[in-house]
Amino acid sequence: MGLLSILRKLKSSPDQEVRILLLGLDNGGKTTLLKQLASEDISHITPTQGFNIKSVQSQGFKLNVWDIGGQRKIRPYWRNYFENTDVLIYVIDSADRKRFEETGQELAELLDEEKLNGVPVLIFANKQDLLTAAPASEIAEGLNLHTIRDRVWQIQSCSALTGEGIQEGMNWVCKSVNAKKK
Amino acid sequence: MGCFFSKKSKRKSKEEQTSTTLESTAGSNSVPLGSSSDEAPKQYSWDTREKVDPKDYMLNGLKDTTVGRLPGTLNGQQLVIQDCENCNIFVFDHSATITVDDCINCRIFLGPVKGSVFFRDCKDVRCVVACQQFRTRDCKKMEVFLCCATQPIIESSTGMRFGCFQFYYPELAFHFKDAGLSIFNNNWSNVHDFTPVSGENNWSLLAETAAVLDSVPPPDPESEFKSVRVSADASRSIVPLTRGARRKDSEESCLFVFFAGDYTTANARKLIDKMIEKCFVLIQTKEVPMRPEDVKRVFQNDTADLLEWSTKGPVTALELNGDGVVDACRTIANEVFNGSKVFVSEDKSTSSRDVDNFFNFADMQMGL
Repeated sequence: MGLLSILRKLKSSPDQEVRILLLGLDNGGKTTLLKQLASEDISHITPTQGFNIKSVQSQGFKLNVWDIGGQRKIRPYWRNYFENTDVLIYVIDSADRKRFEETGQELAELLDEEKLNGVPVLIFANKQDLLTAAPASEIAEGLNLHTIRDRVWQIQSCSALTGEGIQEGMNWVCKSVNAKKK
Repeated sequence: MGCFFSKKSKRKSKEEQTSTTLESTAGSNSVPLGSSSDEAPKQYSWDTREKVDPKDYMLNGLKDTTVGRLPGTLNGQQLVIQDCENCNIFVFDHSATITVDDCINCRIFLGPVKGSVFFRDCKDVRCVVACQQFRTRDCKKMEVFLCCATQPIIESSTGMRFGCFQFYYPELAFHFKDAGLSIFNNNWSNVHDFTPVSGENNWSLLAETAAVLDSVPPPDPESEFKSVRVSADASRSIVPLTRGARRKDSEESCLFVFFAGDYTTANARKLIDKMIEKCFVLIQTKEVPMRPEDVKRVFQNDTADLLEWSTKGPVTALELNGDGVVDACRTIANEVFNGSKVFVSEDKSTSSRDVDNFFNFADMQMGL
Protein backbone atom coordinates (compact mmCIF):
# COMPACT_ATOMS: atom_id res chain seq x y z
CA MET A 1 0.00 0.00 0.00
CA GLY A 2 1.41 3.38 -1.00
CA LEU A 3 1.95 6.18 1.48
CA LEU A 4 -0.65 8.31 -0.18
CA SER A 5 -3.41 5.79 0.23
CA ILE A 6 -2.49 5.26 3.90
CA LEU A 7 -2.68 8.99 4.47
CA ARG A 8 -5.99 9.04 2.70
CA LYS A 9 -7.31 6.35 5.01
CA LEU A 10 -6.18 8.25 8.09
CA LYS A 11 -8.02 11.35 7.01
CA SER A 12 -11.53 11.36 8.38
CA SER A 13 -13.66 9.80 5.70
CA PRO A 14 -15.86 12.24 3.80
CA ASP A 15 -19.60 11.71 3.68
CA GLN A 16 -20.57 8.69 1.75
CA GLU A 17 -22.40 9.62 -1.42
CA VAL A 18 -25.70 7.93 -2.22
CA ARG A 19 -27.45 8.16 -5.54
CA ILE A 20 -31.24 8.19 -5.17
CA LEU A 21 -33.63 8.01 -8.08
CA LEU A 22 -37.06 9.58 -7.56
CA LEU A 23 -39.62 8.20 -10.01
CA GLY A 24 -43.39 7.92 -10.35
CA LEU A 25 -46.26 9.16 -12.52
CA ASP A 26 -46.68 12.83 -13.33
CA ASN A 27 -48.50 14.87 -10.66
CA GLY A 28 -47.42 12.41 -7.95
CA GLY A 29 -45.48 14.99 -5.91
CA LYS A 30 -41.85 14.05 -6.70
CA THR A 31 -40.62 17.62 -7.00
CA THR A 32 -42.53 18.70 -3.89
CA LEU A 33 -40.85 15.83 -2.03
CA LEU A 34 -37.43 16.84 -3.38
CA LYS A 35 -37.95 20.44 -2.31
CA GLN A 36 -39.17 19.35 1.13
CA LEU A 37 -36.00 17.31 1.55
CA ALA A 38 -33.98 20.43 0.77
CA SER A 39 -36.20 22.65 2.98
CA GLU A 40 -37.16 24.81 0.02
CA ASP A 41 -40.35 26.75 -0.68
CA ILE A 42 -43.07 24.52 -2.16
CA SER A 43 -45.68 27.13 -3.08
CA HIS A 44 -44.41 27.54 -6.66
CA ILE A 45 -43.61 24.21 -8.25
CA THR A 46 -43.77 23.98 -12.00
CA PRO A 47 -44.43 20.58 -13.66
CA THR A 48 -41.00 19.04 -14.33
CA GLN A 49 -40.03 19.02 -18.00
CA GLY A 50 -36.64 17.33 -17.64
CA PHE A 51 -35.20 16.57 -14.26
CA ASN A 52 -34.21 18.26 -10.99
CA ILE A 53 -31.28 17.26 -8.81
CA LYS A 54 -30.44 18.21 -5.24
CA SER A 55 -27.88 17.09 -2.70
CA VAL A 56 -28.98 16.84 0.89
CA GLN A 57 -27.10 15.71 4.00
CA SER A 58 -28.66 13.02 6.11
CA GLN A 59 -27.16 10.85 8.86
CA GLY A 60 -23.61 11.13 7.53
CA PHE A 61 -24.69 10.48 3.96
CA LYS A 62 -24.64 12.89 1.09
CA LEU A 63 -27.86 12.04 -0.73
CA ASN A 64 -27.83 13.00 -4.41
CA VAL A 65 -31.49 12.91 -5.31
CA TRP A 66 -32.57 12.83 -8.96
CA ASP A 67 -36.18 13.81 -9.63
CA ILE A 68 -37.23 12.86 -13.18
CA GLY A 69 -40.39 14.13 -14.91
CA GLY A 70 -43.18 11.53 -15.01
CA GLN A 71 -45.37 12.27 -18.04
CA ARG A 72 -46.18 9.17 -20.07
CA LYS A 73 -44.30 10.58 -23.04
CA ILE A 74 -41.03 11.00 -21.14
CA ARG A 75 -41.07 7.81 -19.06
CA PRO A 76 -38.91 6.01 -21.66
CA TYR A 77 -36.11 8.41 -20.66
CA TRP A 78 -36.15 7.18 -17.06
CA ARG A 79 -33.72 4.43 -18.04
CA ASN A 80 -31.05 7.01 -18.84
CA TYR A 81 -30.79 7.59 -15.10
CA PHE A 82 -30.71 3.97 -13.84
CA GLU A 83 -26.93 3.49 -13.74
CA ASN A 84 -25.35 3.32 -10.27
CA THR A 85 -28.61 3.92 -8.43
CA ASP A 86 -28.32 3.05 -4.73
CA VAL A 87 -31.97 3.45 -3.79
CA LEU A 88 -35.15 3.87 -5.83
CA ILE A 89 -37.89 6.03 -4.35
CA TYR A 90 -41.21 5.52 -6.11
CA VAL A 91 -43.85 8.17 -5.42
CA ILE A 92 -47.57 7.41 -5.69
CA ASP A 93 -50.47 9.86 -5.58
CA SER A 94 -52.64 7.96 -3.09
CA ALA A 95 -55.72 9.96 -4.11
CA ASP A 96 -55.44 9.26 -7.85
CA ARG A 97 -57.47 6.06 -7.98
CA LYS A 98 -57.99 6.37 -11.71
CA ARG A 99 -54.30 5.65 -12.23
CA PHE A 100 -53.52 3.03 -9.56
CA GLU A 101 -53.27 0.42 -12.30
CA GLU A 102 -51.02 2.60 -14.45
CA THR A 103 -48.68 3.39 -11.56
CA GLY A 104 -48.57 -0.31 -10.63
CA GLN A 105 -47.56 -1.23 -14.16
CA GLU A 106 -44.81 1.38 -14.26
CA LEU A 107 -43.46 0.16 -10.92
CA ALA A 108 -43.54 -3.47 -12.07
CA GLU A 109 -41.58 -2.52 -15.19
CA LEU A 110 -39.00 -0.69 -13.11
CA LEU A 111 -38.54 -3.71 -10.84
CA ASP A 112 -37.90 -5.82 -13.95
CA GLU A 113 -35.11 -3.53 -15.14
CA GLU A 114 -31.77 -5.27 -15.11
CA LYS A 115 -29.89 -2.11 -14.17
CA LEU A 116 -32.05 -1.74 -11.05
CA ASN A 117 -31.52 -5.36 -10.03
CA GLY A 118 -31.52 -5.68 -6.23
CA VAL A 119 -31.80 -1.92 -5.70
CA PRO A 120 -33.78 -1.22 -2.51
CA VAL A 121 -37.10 0.46 -3.22
CA LEU A 122 -39.02 2.84 -0.99
CA ILE A 123 -42.61 3.51 -2.03
CA PHE A 124 -44.04 6.76 -0.77
CA ALA A 125 -47.85 6.63 -0.57
CA ASN A 126 -48.01 10.39 -0.96
CA LYS A 127 -50.79 12.98 -0.59
CA GLN A 128 -52.18 11.46 2.60
CA ASP A 129 -53.25 15.01 3.50
CA LEU A 130 -56.07 14.63 0.95
CA LEU A 131 -59.29 13.26 2.41
CA THR A 132 -59.86 10.65 -0.29
CA ALA A 133 -56.31 9.25 -0.16
CA ALA A 134 -56.10 5.46 -0.03
CA PRO A 135 -54.19 4.15 3.01
CA ALA A 136 -50.70 2.73 2.38
CA SER A 137 -51.91 -0.76 3.30
CA GLU A 138 -54.51 -0.67 0.52
CA ILE A 139 -51.92 0.50 -1.99
CA ALA A 140 -49.44 -2.18 -0.89
CA GLU A 141 -52.08 -4.80 -1.44
CA GLY A 142 -53.17 -3.40 -4.79
CA LEU A 143 -49.59 -3.35 -6.03
CA ASN A 144 -48.89 -6.87 -4.72
CA LEU A 145 -45.81 -5.57 -2.97
CA HIS A 146 -45.62 -8.71 -0.84
CA THR A 147 -44.57 -10.64 -3.95
CA ILE A 148 -41.32 -8.67 -4.22
CA ARG A 149 -38.60 -11.15 -3.35
CA ASP A 150 -35.48 -9.90 -5.06
CA ARG A 151 -34.79 -6.75 -3.04
CA VAL A 152 -35.61 -4.99 0.20
CA TRP A 153 -38.57 -2.68 0.02
CA GLN A 154 -40.72 -0.49 2.20
CA ILE A 155 -43.94 1.45 1.81
CA GLN A 156 -44.35 4.66 3.78
CA SER A 157 -47.39 6.90 3.91
CA CYS A 158 -46.52 10.58 3.70
CA SER A 159 -47.57 14.07 2.75
CA ALA A 160 -44.89 15.89 0.79
CA LEU A 161 -46.99 18.99 1.31
CA THR A 162 -46.85 18.97 5.13
CA GLY A 163 -43.66 16.90 5.42
CA GLU A 164 -45.26 14.22 7.57
CA GLY A 165 -43.83 10.72 7.06
CA ILE A 166 -40.87 11.82 4.96
CA GLN A 167 -38.28 11.52 7.73
CA GLU A 168 -39.36 7.96 8.48
CA GLY A 169 -38.98 7.08 4.82
CA MET A 170 -35.54 8.66 4.58
CA ASN A 171 -34.45 6.84 7.74
CA TRP A 172 -35.28 3.59 6.01
CA VAL A 173 -33.31 4.73 2.93
CA CYS A 174 -30.20 5.38 5.03
CA LYS A 175 -30.64 2.11 6.89
CA SER A 176 -30.87 0.08 3.73
CA VAL A 177 -27.84 1.82 2.21
CA ASN A 178 -25.87 1.08 5.36
CA ALA A 179 -26.83 -2.57 5.22
CA LYS A 180 -25.94 -2.82 1.55
CA LYS A 181 -22.56 -1.10 1.83
CA LYS A 182 -21.31 -2.98 4.89
CA MET B 1 -40.18 -16.12 6.74
CA GLY B 2 -40.86 -16.76 3.11
CA CYS B 3 -37.94 -14.71 1.98
CA PHE B 4 -35.47 -17.44 2.97
CA PHE B 5 -36.88 -19.50 0.17
CA SER B 6 -37.04 -16.71 -2.34
CA LYS B 7 -35.65 -17.31 -5.79
CA LYS B 8 -32.79 -14.84 -5.39
CA SER B 9 -31.42 -16.57 -2.27
CA LYS B 10 -28.80 -18.28 -4.38
CA ARG B 11 -27.03 -14.99 -4.87
CA LYS B 12 -23.57 -14.21 -3.54
CA SER B 13 -23.60 -14.92 0.16
CA LYS B 14 -22.68 -11.42 1.33
CA GLU B 15 -25.43 -9.72 -0.55
CA GLU B 16 -27.88 -12.42 0.33
CA GLN B 17 -27.38 -12.01 4.04
CA THR B 18 -27.97 -8.30 4.24
CA SER B 19 -30.80 -8.59 1.82
CA THR B 20 -32.53 -11.27 3.84
CA THR B 21 -32.28 -9.59 7.20
CA LEU B 22 -33.48 -6.30 5.85
CA GLU B 23 -36.23 -7.86 3.88
CA SER B 24 -37.67 -9.51 6.92
CA THR B 25 -37.75 -6.28 8.87
CA ALA B 26 -39.16 -4.35 5.97
CA GLY B 27 -41.61 -7.07 5.12
CA SER B 28 -43.01 -7.40 8.59
CA ASN B 29 -43.42 -3.69 8.65
CA SER B 30 -45.29 -3.40 5.46
CA VAL B 31 -48.45 -5.40 4.94
CA PRO B 32 -50.49 -4.53 6.81
CA LEU B 33 -48.63 -1.46 7.96
CA GLY B 34 -47.06 -1.73 11.34
CA SER B 35 -48.63 -5.03 12.33
CA SER B 36 -46.31 -7.36 14.22
CA SER B 37 -43.51 -4.81 14.31
CA ASP B 38 -41.78 -4.39 17.65
CA GLU B 39 -42.45 -0.74 18.23
CA ALA B 40 -45.92 0.77 18.16
CA PRO B 41 -46.64 2.16 14.71
CA LYS B 42 -46.33 5.92 14.47
CA GLN B 43 -49.61 7.79 14.39
CA TYR B 44 -49.95 10.35 11.63
CA SER B 45 -52.52 13.11 11.34
CA TRP B 46 -54.35 11.05 8.69
CA ASP B 47 -54.59 8.07 11.04
CA THR B 48 -56.35 10.08 13.69
CA ARG B 49 -58.55 12.42 11.68
CA GLU B 50 -62.26 11.85 11.33
CA LYS B 51 -63.17 9.44 8.57
CA VAL B 52 -65.06 11.01 5.70
CA ASP B 53 -67.13 9.61 2.89
CA PRO B 54 -65.09 10.09 -0.30
CA LYS B 55 -68.38 10.54 -2.16
CA ASP B 56 -68.80 13.90 -0.47
CA TYR B 57 -65.74 15.04 -2.40
CA MET B 58 -66.87 13.73 -5.77
CA LEU B 59 -69.13 14.76 -8.61
CA ASN B 60 -69.63 11.44 -10.33
CA GLY B 61 -71.70 10.19 -13.27
CA LEU B 62 -73.95 13.24 -13.69
CA LYS B 63 -75.85 14.21 -16.81
CA ASP B 64 -77.66 17.34 -18.04
CA THR B 65 -77.55 19.16 -14.72
CA THR B 66 -76.03 22.12 -12.87
CA VAL B 67 -73.93 21.14 -9.84
CA GLY B 68 -70.94 22.27 -7.80
CA ARG B 69 -70.05 23.91 -4.52
CA LEU B 70 -71.15 27.21 -2.97
CA PRO B 71 -68.62 29.48 -1.21
CA GLY B 72 -67.47 27.99 2.10
CA THR B 73 -68.69 24.44 1.38
CA LEU B 74 -65.50 22.90 -0.04
CA ASN B 75 -63.22 25.00 2.10
CA GLY B 76 -59.79 23.99 0.86
CA GLN B 77 -60.48 20.28 0.44
CA GLN B 78 -60.05 18.30 -2.75
CA LEU B 79 -62.65 17.53 -5.39
CA VAL B 80 -62.89 14.71 -7.92
CA ILE B 81 -65.08 15.34 -10.96
CA GLN B 82 -65.67 12.33 -13.22
CA ASP B 83 -67.94 10.84 -15.88
CA CYS B 84 -70.10 13.93 -16.27
CA GLU B 85 -71.90 14.73 -19.48
CA ASN B 86 -73.48 17.97 -20.59
CA CYS B 87 -73.22 19.52 -17.12
CA ASN B 88 -72.59 23.01 -15.80
CA ILE B 89 -70.22 22.70 -12.86
CA PHE B 90 -69.45 25.64 -10.57
CA VAL B 91 -66.90 25.40 -7.79
CA PHE B 92 -67.22 28.79 -6.12
CA ASP B 93 -64.67 27.98 -3.42
CA HIS B 94 -60.96 27.34 -2.93
CA SER B 95 -59.66 23.78 -2.90
CA ALA B 96 -56.53 21.67 -2.42
CA THR B 97 -56.52 19.92 -5.80
CA ILE B 98 -59.03 18.90 -8.46
CA THR B 99 -59.04 16.11 -11.04
CA VAL B 100 -61.52 16.15 -13.91
CA ASP B 101 -61.78 12.80 -15.70
CA ASP B 102 -63.86 11.45 -18.59
CA CYS B 103 -66.13 14.46 -18.87
CA ILE B 104 -67.83 15.33 -22.13
CA ASN B 105 -69.46 18.57 -23.22
CA CYS B 106 -69.31 20.36 -19.87
CA ARG B 107 -68.88 23.95 -18.74
CA ILE B 108 -66.77 24.18 -15.60
CA PHE B 109 -65.74 27.01 -13.27
CA LEU B 110 -63.03 26.16 -10.72
CA GLY B 111 -62.22 28.73 -8.03
CA PRO B 112 -58.60 29.01 -6.79
CA VAL B 113 -56.89 25.62 -6.45
CA LYS B 114 -53.86 25.55 -4.16
CA GLY B 115 -52.16 22.64 -5.95
CA SER B 116 -52.79 21.07 -9.32
CA VAL B 117 -55.78 20.80 -11.64
CA PHE B 118 -55.57 17.71 -13.84
CA PHE B 119 -57.93 17.10 -16.78
CA ARG B 120 -57.82 13.58 -18.27
CA ASP B 121 -59.81 12.00 -21.09
CA CYS B 122 -62.10 15.00 -21.43
CA LYS B 123 -63.73 16.25 -24.60
CA ASP B 124 -65.55 19.46 -25.50
CA VAL B 125 -65.00 21.10 -22.15
CA ARG B 126 -65.02 24.85 -21.67
CA CYS B 127 -63.70 26.11 -18.38
CA VAL B 128 -62.48 28.95 -16.19
CA VAL B 129 -59.69 27.82 -13.85
CA ALA B 130 -57.33 29.39 -11.28
CA CYS B 131 -54.59 27.13 -9.90
CA GLN B 132 -50.92 26.61 -9.06
CA GLN B 133 -50.50 23.89 -11.72
CA PHE B 134 -52.59 23.16 -14.80
CA ARG B 135 -52.17 19.76 -16.51
CA THR B 136 -54.05 17.82 -19.19
CA ARG B 137 -53.63 14.40 -20.77
CA ASP B 138 -55.67 12.75 -23.54
CA CYS B 139 -58.06 15.67 -23.91
CA LYS B 140 -59.75 17.02 -27.00
CA LYS B 141 -61.25 20.40 -27.79
CA MET B 142 -61.06 22.47 -24.66
CA GLU B 143 -61.35 26.20 -24.05
CA VAL B 144 -59.55 27.29 -20.92
CA PHE B 145 -59.70 30.76 -19.36
CA LEU B 146 -56.76 30.32 -17.08
CA CYS B 147 -54.88 31.84 -14.17
CA CYS B 148 -51.89 29.57 -13.50
CA ALA B 149 -48.99 30.33 -11.16
CA THR B 150 -46.64 28.00 -13.06
CA GLN B 151 -46.30 26.93 -16.68
CA PRO B 152 -49.46 25.12 -17.90
CA ILE B 153 -48.69 21.75 -19.51
CA ILE B 154 -50.58 19.53 -21.94
CA GLU B 155 -49.86 15.94 -22.99
CA SER B 156 -51.48 14.01 -25.85
CA SER B 157 -54.14 16.71 -26.07
CA THR B 158 -55.45 18.42 -29.18
CA GLY B 159 -57.60 21.41 -29.99
CA MET B 160 -56.68 23.16 -26.75
CA ARG B 161 -57.35 26.92 -26.65
CA PHE B 162 -56.26 29.26 -23.89
CA GLY B 163 -57.36 32.69 -22.73
CA CYS B 164 -56.77 34.87 -19.66
CA PHE B 165 -58.86 34.21 -16.52
CA GLN B 166 -61.49 36.90 -16.04
CA PHE B 167 -64.02 36.44 -13.31
CA TYR B 168 -65.53 38.01 -10.25
CA TYR B 169 -67.70 36.92 -7.37
CA PRO B 170 -67.66 38.62 -3.97
CA GLU B 171 -65.55 35.99 -2.15
CA LEU B 172 -63.10 35.34 -4.99
CA ALA B 173 -60.29 37.61 -3.75
CA PHE B 174 -60.36 35.83 -0.37
CA HIS B 175 -60.33 32.46 -2.07
CA PHE B 176 -57.17 33.45 -3.96
CA LYS B 177 -55.56 34.34 -0.63
CA ASP B 178 -56.72 31.11 1.01
CA ALA B 179 -55.27 29.10 -1.88
CA GLY B 180 -51.96 30.95 -1.62
CA LEU B 181 -52.22 32.26 -5.18
CA SER B 182 -51.23 35.74 -6.32
CA ILE B 183 -53.55 37.45 -8.80
CA PHE B 184 -50.42 38.85 -10.47
CA ASN B 185 -48.70 35.53 -11.19
CA ASN B 186 -50.50 34.26 -14.24
CA ASN B 187 -48.70 32.31 -16.96
CA TRP B 188 -51.85 31.44 -18.92
CA SER B 189 -50.32 31.88 -22.38
CA ASN B 190 -46.98 30.14 -21.79
CA VAL B 191 -48.11 26.56 -22.46
CA HIS B 192 -45.71 23.59 -22.64
CA ASP B 193 -46.72 20.69 -24.86
CA PHE B 194 -45.10 17.35 -23.95
CA THR B 195 -46.25 15.81 -27.23
CA PRO B 196 -45.84 18.34 -30.03
CA VAL B 197 -46.69 17.13 -33.53
CA SER B 198 -44.67 18.69 -36.32
CA GLY B 199 -46.77 20.69 -38.72
CA GLU B 200 -49.72 20.80 -36.33
CA ASN B 201 -50.74 22.91 -33.36
CA ASN B 202 -52.17 21.08 -30.40
CA TRP B 203 -52.87 24.38 -28.71
CA SER B 204 -53.43 28.04 -29.51
CA LEU B 205 -54.52 31.27 -27.88
CA LEU B 206 -58.17 32.31 -27.97
CA ALA B 207 -59.02 35.54 -29.77
CA GLU B 208 -58.69 38.56 -27.54
CA THR B 209 -62.37 39.26 -28.11
CA ALA B 210 -63.45 35.82 -26.81
CA ALA B 211 -65.92 36.44 -23.99
CA VAL B 212 -65.76 34.19 -20.92
CA LEU B 213 -69.52 34.03 -20.44
CA ASP B 214 -70.06 32.92 -24.06
CA SER B 215 -67.99 29.85 -23.22
CA VAL B 216 -69.02 29.32 -19.61
CA PRO B 217 -72.43 30.95 -19.05
CA PRO B 218 -73.34 32.19 -15.55
CA PRO B 219 -75.40 29.82 -13.37
CA ASP B 220 -78.97 29.21 -14.36
CA PRO B 221 -81.33 31.44 -12.28
CA GLU B 222 -83.22 28.25 -11.34
CA SER B 223 -80.11 26.65 -9.80
CA GLU B 224 -78.78 26.81 -6.25
CA PHE B 225 -75.95 29.03 -7.54
CA LYS B 226 -78.23 31.91 -8.46
CA SER B 227 -77.28 33.66 -5.22
CA VAL B 228 -73.64 34.02 -6.30
CA ARG B 229 -73.24 37.37 -8.00
CA VAL B 230 -70.81 36.63 -10.82
CA SER B 231 -69.29 38.90 -13.41
CA ALA B 232 -66.74 38.36 -16.13
CA ASP B 233 -66.11 42.03 -16.97
CA ALA B 234 -62.43 42.70 -17.47
CA SER B 235 -62.79 45.80 -15.30
CA ARG B 236 -64.16 43.78 -12.37
CA SER B 237 -62.06 40.65 -12.80
CA ILE B 238 -60.01 39.75 -9.73
CA VAL B 239 -57.15 38.71 -12.01
CA PRO B 240 -55.92 41.52 -14.27
CA LEU B 241 -56.56 40.85 -17.95
CA THR B 242 -53.20 40.44 -19.69
CA ARG B 243 -52.27 40.19 -23.35
CA GLY B 244 -49.72 37.48 -22.57
CA ALA B 245 -47.78 36.03 -25.47
CA ARG B 246 -50.02 37.57 -28.09
CA ARG B 247 -48.38 39.98 -30.50
CA LYS B 248 -47.65 43.41 -29.02
CA ASP B 249 -49.07 46.51 -30.73
CA SER B 250 -46.06 48.69 -30.14
CA GLU B 251 -42.31 48.40 -29.79
CA GLU B 252 -42.50 50.53 -26.66
CA SER B 253 -43.00 48.82 -23.31
CA CYS B 254 -42.59 50.25 -19.81
CA LEU B 255 -41.74 48.54 -16.53
CA PHE B 256 -43.74 49.80 -13.54
CA VAL B 257 -42.89 48.27 -10.15
CA PHE B 258 -44.73 48.74 -6.86
CA PHE B 259 -42.75 47.87 -3.75
CA ALA B 260 -44.53 46.21 -0.85
CA GLY B 261 -46.82 48.45 1.18
CA ASP B 262 -50.36 48.60 2.50
CA TYR B 263 -51.99 49.53 -0.80
CA THR B 264 -49.82 47.71 -3.32
CA THR B 265 -52.63 45.66 -4.86
CA ALA B 266 -55.06 48.56 -4.92
CA ASN B 267 -52.42 50.84 -6.45
CA ALA B 268 -51.55 48.31 -9.14
CA ARG B 269 -55.24 48.00 -10.03
CA LYS B 270 -55.63 51.76 -10.12
CA LEU B 271 -52.66 52.04 -12.49
CA ILE B 272 -54.06 49.35 -14.78
CA ASP B 273 -57.47 51.08 -14.93
CA LYS B 274 -55.91 54.44 -15.74
CA MET B 275 -53.64 53.03 -18.42
CA ILE B 276 -56.45 51.08 -20.08
CA GLU B 277 -58.53 54.29 -20.15
CA LYS B 278 -55.68 55.77 -22.17
CA CYS B 279 -55.73 52.76 -24.51
CA PHE B 280 -52.46 51.21 -23.36
CA VAL B 281 -52.23 47.44 -23.00
CA LEU B 282 -51.21 45.33 -20.01
CA ILE B 283 -48.87 42.60 -21.26
CA GLN B 284 -47.85 40.73 -18.11
CA THR B 285 -47.56 41.04 -14.32
CA LYS B 286 -45.52 39.35 -11.59
CA GLU B 287 -45.38 39.36 -7.81
CA VAL B 288 -42.03 38.14 -6.56
CA PRO B 289 -39.69 38.62 -3.58
CA MET B 290 -36.28 40.19 -4.32
CA ARG B 291 -33.05 39.91 -2.38
CA PRO B 292 -30.70 42.91 -2.24
CA GLU B 293 -28.36 41.35 -4.81
CA ASP B 294 -31.33 40.80 -7.16
CA VAL B 295 -32.35 44.46 -6.83
CA LYS B 296 -28.82 45.62 -7.69
CA ARG B 297 -28.61 43.37 -10.72
CA VAL B 298 -32.11 43.97 -12.08
CA PHE B 299 -32.43 47.73 -11.58
CA GLN B 300 -28.72 48.43 -12.16
CA ASN B 301 -28.43 52.12 -11.22
CA ASP B 302 -30.46 54.22 -8.82
CA THR B 303 -30.90 51.40 -6.31
CA ALA B 304 -30.34 52.92 -2.85
CA ASP B 305 -34.05 53.48 -2.06
CA LEU B 306 -35.14 50.37 -3.89
CA LEU B 307 -32.79 48.25 -1.79
CA GLU B 308 -34.48 49.33 1.39
CA TRP B 309 -38.01 49.09 0.01
CA SER B 310 -37.48 45.58 -1.30
CA THR B 311 -36.88 44.25 2.22
CA LYS B 312 -40.51 44.94 3.15
CA GLY B 313 -41.98 42.17 1.00
CA PRO B 314 -42.47 41.01 -2.58
CA VAL B 315 -42.61 43.54 -5.41
CA THR B 316 -45.48 43.77 -7.91
CA ALA B 317 -44.35 44.51 -11.44
CA LEU B 318 -46.30 45.33 -14.61
CA GLU B 319 -45.35 45.55 -18.26
CA LEU B 320 -47.44 48.12 -20.11
CA ASN B 321 -47.28 48.58 -23.85
CA GLY B 322 -48.14 51.25 -26.43
CA ASP B 323 -46.58 54.24 -28.19
CA GLY B 324 -45.79 56.88 -25.56
CA VAL B 325 -46.31 54.46 -22.66
CA VAL B 326 -43.12 55.46 -20.81
CA ASP B 327 -44.09 59.14 -20.68
CA ALA B 328 -47.65 58.24 -19.67
CA CYS B 329 -46.40 55.98 -16.86
CA ARG B 330 -44.01 58.64 -15.55
CA THR B 331 -46.80 61.24 -15.54
CA ILE B 332 -49.14 58.95 -13.61
CA ALA B 333 -46.37 58.01 -11.19
CA ASN B 334 -45.90 61.69 -10.38
CA GLU B 335 -49.53 62.71 -10.30
CA VAL B 336 -51.19 59.69 -8.71
CA PHE B 337 -48.52 57.66 -6.94
CA ASN B 338 -46.35 60.48 -5.68
CA GLY B 339 -45.07 59.28 -2.32
CA SER B 340 -45.66 55.60 -3.11
CA LYS B 341 -42.67 53.36 -3.42
CA VAL B 342 -42.40 52.72 -7.15
CA PHE B 343 -39.90 52.22 -9.93
CA VAL B 344 -40.79 53.39 -13.45
CA SER B 345 -38.66 53.05 -16.58
CA GLU B 346 -36.98 56.39 -17.25
CA ASP B 347 -36.62 56.50 -20.95
CA LYS B 348 -38.09 54.65 -23.88
CA SER B 349 -34.61 53.91 -25.20
CA THR B 350 -33.85 51.74 -22.16
CA SER B 351 -37.32 50.66 -21.02
CA SER B 352 -37.41 47.40 -22.95
CA ARG B 353 -34.16 46.43 -21.24
CA ASP B 354 -35.85 47.11 -17.85
CA VAL B 355 -38.73 44.86 -18.87
CA ASP B 356 -36.44 42.04 -20.03
CA ASN B 357 -34.20 42.28 -16.97
CA PHE B 358 -37.08 42.13 -14.55
CA PHE B 359 -39.19 39.40 -16.15
CA ASN B 360 -36.21 37.21 -16.95
CA PHE B 361 -35.27 37.44 -13.29
CA ALA B 362 -38.83 36.76 -12.11
CA ASP B 363 -39.34 33.78 -14.43
CA MET B 364 -36.02 32.28 -13.36
CA GLN B 365 -36.92 32.85 -9.72
CA MET B 366 -40.21 31.03 -10.18
CA GLY B 367 -38.71 28.13 -12.08
CA LEU B 368 -40.39 28.98 -15.37
